[in-house]
Amino acid sequence: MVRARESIDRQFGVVAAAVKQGVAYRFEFFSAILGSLLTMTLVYFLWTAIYNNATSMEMSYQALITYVCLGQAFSFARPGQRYIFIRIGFGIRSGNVLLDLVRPMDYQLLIYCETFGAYLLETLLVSLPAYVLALFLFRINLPPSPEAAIGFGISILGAFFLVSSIDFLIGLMAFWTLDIWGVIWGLGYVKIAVLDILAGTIIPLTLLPDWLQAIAAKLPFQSMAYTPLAIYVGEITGRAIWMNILNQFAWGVGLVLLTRLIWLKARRRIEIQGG
Amino acid sequence: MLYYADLYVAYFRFALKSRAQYRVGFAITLVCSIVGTSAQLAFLTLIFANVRQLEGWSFDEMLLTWGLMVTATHLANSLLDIPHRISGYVQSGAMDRLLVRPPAPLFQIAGEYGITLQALSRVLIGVAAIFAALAALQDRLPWWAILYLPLTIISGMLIMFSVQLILACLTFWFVNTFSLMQTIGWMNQFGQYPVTILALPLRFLLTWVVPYAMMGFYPAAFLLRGGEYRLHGLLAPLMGFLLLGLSLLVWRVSVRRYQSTGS
Repeated sequence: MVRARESIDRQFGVVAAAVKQGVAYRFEFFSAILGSLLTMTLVYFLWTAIYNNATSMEMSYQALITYVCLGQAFSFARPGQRYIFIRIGFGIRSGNVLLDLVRPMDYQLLIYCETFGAYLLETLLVSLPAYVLALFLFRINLPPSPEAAIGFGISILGAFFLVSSIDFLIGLMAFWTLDIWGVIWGLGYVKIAVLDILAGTIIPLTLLPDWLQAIAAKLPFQSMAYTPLAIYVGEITGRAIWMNILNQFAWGVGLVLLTRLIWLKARRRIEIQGG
Repeated sequence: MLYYADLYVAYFRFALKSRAQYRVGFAITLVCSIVGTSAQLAFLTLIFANVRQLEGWSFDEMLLTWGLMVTATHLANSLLDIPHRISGYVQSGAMDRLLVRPPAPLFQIAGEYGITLQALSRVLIGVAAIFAALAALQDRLPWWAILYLPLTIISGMLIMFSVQLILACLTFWFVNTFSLMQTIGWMNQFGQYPVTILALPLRFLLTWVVPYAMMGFYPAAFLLRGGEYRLHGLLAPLMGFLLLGLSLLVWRVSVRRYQSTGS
């Protein structure tokens, strides 16, 4: 019992430390909100034009605009969201990873806790302000029902676990290649591309051609953006909300286990580059 | 002049050598950046799965805009990746080293860190997009396109560079402006689409303040539609050079404020 308490205290400690560390970079957050609003502005005008020029569209204008603006406010494809793999890559390159490995806490858990802290802070300081501004500036919808609101909250958390597992995987690449910066930044771009399109951050998946929709439905990526956003705008309703969230968490558990296996393998390869 | 050319060749060779050390890594990065850029192109195609024309602009016209934009942007990123490095030099005090050497400091940064070969693969995709668009739009092209397009691309590259350089110079005056540079640099995505879909204040911003629309949209529109886009279209190939002059002026004034870290 005492041990479990201690371990949970430790995890809270790491999350809290990550939050405190982040607060020190106020200017960065200001830029992130500005960036978020700019992207929102772009998708707003772009999708307004697309909607006006389309002969028929599966979604109503209001739902469409809400979807894409919300997607930017809570985007996991934001350039700033490279926390994990920069942390891991830098740790390996500099040798600091050794310090992390001797800590009385599992490395993967440590990284996840830190990321969670950073993510919480980003949600509070970037996503929520951007969301509130979107409500006024772009007149996006509020959630149509309490169920949609709760479903959105839970599934954005589910999306976090999926995205951080992918980030952890990218970070682990640093164990196999010495050119850490190039590879990690490159994979970061691929991650953004995947999140933007296959996850449905900048385009609602229902507007993709059928064959692409079929592929996207079989991949875990749709849970990273489409699921929470579609729940919020009411594209996914009723029982389907909970089925989707279940699916999301199943993928989440699967990916965490997969990353766990790869991490255990990678750990043996640690090779510190001298000074 | 010859001295500078020789020096640049040497710098370029160093860049190639240091990249060649990590061949696998370089290959992965190259593939990744191709995937990233192709995804943007895929998004453009997906838009046209829902519409025939976007506010009167066809897919091919937007492809030309996109191609010009991507080519110019990534030419700047691969050969003139200088502004992002400046704050590093200032904060570490490495500016001292640059200032006491004979070549111009900006040129030295261009050689030491400004060459990012990975971005060249994006340039290739951009050029391919331009050619695909031109092939589809053949009969609407005036003969002078062959002179006009290369000039606009060079001007576009300079627009990208100069805007970033002016922002980077703020480092000498107050804070670290890295994230601001990224945000404004990112705004060039607006330029990938016809500015006519935007509200007036934004159109003004992208035309006259951070003239990203001059990199792709106005040149494409002028080339294919002439008339109402004449003023902007004729200005586009000059804009980069004008901004370059301005940004170098700002740089000159800012560098004078440099104080070493003393360590």
